Amino acid sequence: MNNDNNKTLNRRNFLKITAGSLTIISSVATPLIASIAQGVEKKGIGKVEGKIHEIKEFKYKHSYCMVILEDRCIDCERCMEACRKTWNVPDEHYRTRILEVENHKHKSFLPVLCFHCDFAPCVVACPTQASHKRKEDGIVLVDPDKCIGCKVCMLACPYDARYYNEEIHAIDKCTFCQPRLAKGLKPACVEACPAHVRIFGDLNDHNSEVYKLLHDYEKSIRVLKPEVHTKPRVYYRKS
Amino acid sequence: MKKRFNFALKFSKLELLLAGIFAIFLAISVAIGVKGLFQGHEHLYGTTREMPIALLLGAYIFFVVTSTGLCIISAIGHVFHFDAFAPIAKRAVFLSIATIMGGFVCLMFELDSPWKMHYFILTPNFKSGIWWMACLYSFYLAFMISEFIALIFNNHKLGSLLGFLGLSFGLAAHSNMGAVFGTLQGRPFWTGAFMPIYFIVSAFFSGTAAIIFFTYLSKHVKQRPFDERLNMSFHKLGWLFLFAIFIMMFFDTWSHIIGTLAYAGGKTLAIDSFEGPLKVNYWFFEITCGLLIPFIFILLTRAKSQLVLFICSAISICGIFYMRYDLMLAGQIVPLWHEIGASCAKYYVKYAPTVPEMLVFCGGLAFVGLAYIFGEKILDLDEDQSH
Repeated sequence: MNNDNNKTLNRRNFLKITAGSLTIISSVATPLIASIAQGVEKKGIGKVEGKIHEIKEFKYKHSYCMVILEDRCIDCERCMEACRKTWNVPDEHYRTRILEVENHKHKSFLPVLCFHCDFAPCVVACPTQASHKRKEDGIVLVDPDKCIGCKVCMLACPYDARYYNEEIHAIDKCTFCQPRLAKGLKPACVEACPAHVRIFGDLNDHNSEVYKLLHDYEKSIRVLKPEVHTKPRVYYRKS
Repeated sequence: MKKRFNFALKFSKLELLLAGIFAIFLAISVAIGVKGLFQGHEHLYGTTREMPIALLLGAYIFFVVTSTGLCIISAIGHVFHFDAFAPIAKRAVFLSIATIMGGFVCLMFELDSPWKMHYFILTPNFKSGIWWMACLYSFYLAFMISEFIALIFNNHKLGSLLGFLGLSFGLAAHSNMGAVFGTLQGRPFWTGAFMPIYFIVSAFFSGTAAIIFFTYLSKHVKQRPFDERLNMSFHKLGWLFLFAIFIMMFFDTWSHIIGTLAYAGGKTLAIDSFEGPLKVNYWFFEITCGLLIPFIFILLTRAKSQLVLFICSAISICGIFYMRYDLMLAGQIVPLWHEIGASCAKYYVKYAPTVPEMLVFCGGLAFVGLAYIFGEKILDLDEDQSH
């Protein structure tokens, strides 16, 4: 009798454990489906054919990007000032800044901003789609109405491009001055720079300065932190 | 047949005092949280652009890790029918609900704009780990509450099924939370497949410590000694705790060796535990209190002394809190521009929790304490022998 009970129990336990394991595995797998789908999407990178921005997945109507001629920056901070003034950025914060970099006793200045990455980790991390990438021009924006202030996008961004703006109760960041672009103007930082460090334009326009700079194969072009594979749309090169 | 509820409350003076203190802390916590909602967190909390999450998210993780662990412990006896752990299953289920709610207190006041939460449903991002975490934890909580109600009404068959579902969603939610950190490519300390596994293992460890702590307390709250089954269960919990500590030590050792020997971005710098700003937290609280002291004393007493087990679990819980807190800080302590040699990123990011932040965390603890006292008094958290 006892043996029978034990057998029943064992069989019951076995079935439960097996069913349990399967359910647990499937439950764990569910949230990963999205990531797997994203991975499949990423395989499209393999289609790059030599030149920058021939990635077929990113066919924007306007393919906005910025080229920074890094040896020209003199750290005058007029770009930061213009940005603050244009977008009412609080004094203690910034949407763009200039890093002072020292390499082998050589000091240089490196302007940084939101890089509007094609594989933007902030967009993937945002639970409410407040952070999103515009399909028409690749600009990464934040919809303040949807931002819950979880700040996971700040953690996800490898470029320190975001801050929480208490005045608008949402994450704020560089928008490539999208409202100004809509009026046919250039970004405020580009206009304010006296040394012509920041070159902004549409890569789809083959006559644009950015297109020419990025297709001048005599100069090497780099992006910051390439190891994080975010495909930034801000490029650095010597003038 | 036991009574399901005991409304004829008889609180000792100490219990009343504790309940009063907990209620005050909870009220202060809510007041600070509400103030933060209106005034913003910038001048209230010590978080910055460089360190956007800190104590409160660490506290949230501390609570949910414990909750998942308690759920695992409850399932051993209640779902998988290992009889030795059945006497503590109902208490573990109740505490897993209380601790996750305590975590939500911290999380709610950590979010800057929680009133926009409905966008979780209106515009969900299925690629976001946080979205999945919220979704899975909601199901987890619903199943755990349902399981507890089923247990109160002595419907153990339904309770087992709900417990099983709770466990499944708990494990999915918790490993997913590990994945939220593991997929942050820009933060080398967190990045990697290790995190989801680490979260589950440390949940098991935290849950064991928490159930030992609260079960021992119940002896004093109820003012009656353990019966034979509970004595045996407590002894086995001691061994389980020792096993959990051993696994944690194993994980920690390899994590430390790999982090120290293999330069992986900012990983080495972040856990530069001999020189870095987290060295005291790491060596004293995490390793000595969290792991070594409990391990040595439980081994020496062969898990026979209930008082030693209780003290060890209490010390370990302190260590576990620092594990969560340090995990948050270590991921952000190396400035993002450090590797390109920016002069603004030469030093570790500084962070010190503010008093309001600490009070909100105390509010989370107070919620758990208050829930425990009332739970233990009103609801019978001991095993129902009638099933």
